Amino acid sequence: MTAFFDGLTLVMQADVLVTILISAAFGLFVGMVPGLSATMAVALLVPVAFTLSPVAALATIITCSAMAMFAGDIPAAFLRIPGTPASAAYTYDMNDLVRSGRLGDALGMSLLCSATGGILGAVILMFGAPLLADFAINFSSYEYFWLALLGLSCATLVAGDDALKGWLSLTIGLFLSVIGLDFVTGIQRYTFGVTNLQAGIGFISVMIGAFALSELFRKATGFGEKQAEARLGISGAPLPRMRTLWDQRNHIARGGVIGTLIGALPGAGADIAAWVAYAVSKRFAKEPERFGRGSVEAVAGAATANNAALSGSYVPTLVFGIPGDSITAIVVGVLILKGIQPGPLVFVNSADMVNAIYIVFLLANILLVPLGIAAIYLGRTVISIRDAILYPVILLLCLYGAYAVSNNTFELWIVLATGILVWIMQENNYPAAPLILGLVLGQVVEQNFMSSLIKADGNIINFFNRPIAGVLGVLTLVVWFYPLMAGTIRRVRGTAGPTDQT
Amino acid sequence: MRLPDFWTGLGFAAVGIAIAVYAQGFHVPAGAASPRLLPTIIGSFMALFGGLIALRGWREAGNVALPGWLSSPRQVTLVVFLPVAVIAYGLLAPRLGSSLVTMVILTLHGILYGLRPLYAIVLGVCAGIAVSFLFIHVLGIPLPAGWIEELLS
Repeated sequence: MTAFFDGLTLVMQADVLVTILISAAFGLFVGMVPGLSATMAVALLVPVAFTLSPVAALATIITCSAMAMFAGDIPAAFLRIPGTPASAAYTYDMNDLVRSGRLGDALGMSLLCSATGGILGAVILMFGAPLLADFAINFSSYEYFWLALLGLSCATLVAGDDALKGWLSLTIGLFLSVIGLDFVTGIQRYTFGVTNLQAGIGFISVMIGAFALSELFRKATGFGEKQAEARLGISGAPLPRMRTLWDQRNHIARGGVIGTLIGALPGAGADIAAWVAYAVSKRFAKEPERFGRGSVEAVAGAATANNAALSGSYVPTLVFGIPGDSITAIVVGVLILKGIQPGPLVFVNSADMVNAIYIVFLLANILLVPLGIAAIYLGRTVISIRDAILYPVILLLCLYGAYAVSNNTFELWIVLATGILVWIMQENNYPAAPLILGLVLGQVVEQNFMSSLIKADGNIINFFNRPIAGVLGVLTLVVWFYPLMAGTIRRVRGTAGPTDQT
Repeated sequence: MRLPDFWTGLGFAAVGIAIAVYAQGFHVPAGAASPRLLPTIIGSFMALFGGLIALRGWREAGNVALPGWLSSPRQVTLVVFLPVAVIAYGLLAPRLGSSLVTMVILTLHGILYGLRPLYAIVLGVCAGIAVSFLFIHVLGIPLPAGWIEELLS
């Protein structure tokens, strides 16, 4: 309880509260603009967060991502274009509800469900993460090595529809993580005599390049393409009736639990959570035939799930130091930059900080309701901001953000190189998210692998000797090689089938 | 810049091989932990995945189609402008100051996106000064300073 009040004291500082308000406004703004994701909002904020205290920095990321997640529903409702990928599942339902003059049942419902989902996820995080941390406290470098390797296997989950390209993108991220001084021997790797590369490739610069500059390239090539007009007006009350809300209680509860659990799986983020909750809500819906044509049940289940997934993704992040998605990958980076090593010991060594994270989650989701109502009314103005104003300002934020990483123009070259690389990759259907996963987890994998190898004196069998390490090791190998085995079995059966028939 | 999978796969396979080969030159001290181990594994896997992608797409190797935006001078200018802007900021800001350079970049970027020159100048000046002020005075980030920053301090 003392730690909780210590956390509360950390949050109730003027600088933290002001930061929460500013990042809330920024998150709502970016989330509302179609094509700009919650990850991009966070990536642009990281250089700013870097200058703040650890609690203020984390509050910035948590608040911004929660707000952007809801704000993505606003263009979905008015333009039929999801502002963030997590809103895609129920875009048609939202738009059809607004078209029929039921603003409260669309955006109001989504707003209240997002806030409830976020709070539900935070409560599960508060009670679930410490229990898991107690279990993980005896983990050694062997267990962490397997966990990090398991986290890397999630590249297939964030890879999109082409797993092979996802794996390749992952190796690019892993390669970037080995550039610089080797942490065991101090030998320079791939620095080519450039002093600035000795400290390695900064993940903030890579994030800005991968998620912001590459997006500007994509927008530049799409210039002049016909854009959707904001044709719908705002009519009706901004919030749903209490009776309607109460009718959705089961979908909200189910969406909250599904969202948190899926968010807690490394690699499976809010997008997947929203789709799964949408499908499950349809299965239990009173009117499943209305799904995709203006269903309040669809909005309730999926909108709860995507915000709950945000909270859930902090479970592996805090307990194991393994990011659940690209936003928590940034959180791991910020924690390490601030001298806090995520893992089970963070619950002992930085208990006040962990409690501050819970409180910020609760606060951000409570704040979401009043700010969200304002955003619904401002939404039409924001989504009609011209590209000619928006993109030059984003470019400016990229330039200053990159420079702010180390007060050195060298970071600009990393942003530029990453931006061009990721743009070309995305144009050719190579996903960017595994690259970030590889960059963040690469160092964790190598450090734990090298520590384990030194402890084991080169004997690989020792990697499986401890019970949990053994289970994790076998699990990791199964996850890694299952697609290969399944493919081979399918091929063998495929060739055996016709032979049997003849 | 859509290229056939064969060529992108082949390109990444070549990079993977280069990474693995270059790693063999790292000095290995006595002991179990070799600094060349992980880079070799990464390079090998990159070469493997790149090779598989190339193999999968070899039938379409000849289907090279230029992207549509290359035929539009405005789109080409917008694409080229981005790296030019980053390089210009990196080289000129330490000499002329951040605000001045970003004002010019914002103005030109706005004009390229179709904003009227007068509005683009207003955008450049207002956003350039406001964001510079925010970074320097509110966040305390020592952006490269010039005469405008001196006036604002």
